[in-house]
Amino acid sequence: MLAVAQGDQAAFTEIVTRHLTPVVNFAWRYVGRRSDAEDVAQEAFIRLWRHAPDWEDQGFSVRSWIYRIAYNLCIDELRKRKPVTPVEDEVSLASAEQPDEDLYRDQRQQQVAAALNELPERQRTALVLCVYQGLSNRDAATVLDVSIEALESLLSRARRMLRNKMTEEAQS
Amino acid sequence: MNSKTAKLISPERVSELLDCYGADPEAWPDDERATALALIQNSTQLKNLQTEARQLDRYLTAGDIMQRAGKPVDMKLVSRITANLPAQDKPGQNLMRNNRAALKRSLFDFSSWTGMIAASIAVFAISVSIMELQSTSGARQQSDVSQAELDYWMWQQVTGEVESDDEEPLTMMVLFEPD
Repeated sequence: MLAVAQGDQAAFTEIVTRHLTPVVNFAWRYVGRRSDAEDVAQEAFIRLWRHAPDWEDQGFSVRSWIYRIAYNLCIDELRKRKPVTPVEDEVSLASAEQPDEDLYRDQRQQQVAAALNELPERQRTALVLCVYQGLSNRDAATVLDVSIEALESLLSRARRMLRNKMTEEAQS
Repeated sequence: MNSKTAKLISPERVSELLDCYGADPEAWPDDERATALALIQNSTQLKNLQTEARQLDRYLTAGDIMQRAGKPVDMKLVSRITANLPAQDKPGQNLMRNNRAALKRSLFDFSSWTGMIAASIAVFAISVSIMELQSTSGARQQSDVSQAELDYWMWQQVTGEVESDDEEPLTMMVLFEPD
């Protein structure tokens, strides 16, 4: 990243290649359409490039910084409009061309996606960052701009709600 | 994780870790992992909690819709991003821009305006109170002066030190009329 801060485009391409897919997937969960998620990711990486000379002053890891930019862009995007297509619908449409053998898995994924969507936005983001995107607690806290204690509180509440949901589903 | 960096934690903290981060030790904070694992090994209660947490982890993993969405890096998108990169900021430029934006936001922020209005009202109220106090004090001073003048005039009348003034107000004369 120090090389990127000095204008090294090859180093920047390497960072984009390494982080692009997870960042697109992360944004996709929010904005609902893959094309919009790609636009968010593109803008996030361009901002990372532009502001790279200030990277050291920010004190973030590259990963948490790019997620933080992408997260803020997603929130801005959602404020501008209501999500048109829930992400699970679009992913299902995308995979419909290749018949899925495991119908049960599909149903389970739909259920969990619906349960996640019911969570308050910050709790959902904390969970997505730590569970699905594999960020450390420090990086996830940086993305959400909260302390680690606050992040743990968000995670704990999110998991409690999901546990209740899981129990309800098992009983029904 | 070596023992030098391992943090001492309580069983309650292990329970919190399972509650926040789930059953997978890889998801726990690095400095708490070793101690947490040792505590779980020696506690049936914590083992049960870990099993419960693992069920939720499985539920979440099975429900990851992006398992199907994930695909290799889209090199076309990489090219699109890196093709026309803008000029980089000079060091500090973004921070200055952020500071200006924060200042602008604070100027247009309703809560800050509410605070400013409240502060203005308070300042206005204090100013009015001070002016009121000053005017009362001034009136009292003026009244004191009038009293002093009256006393002096009475003194003059009694002692006759000063030639009489025909144009003295009648009210003053009335003061000396016998009952």
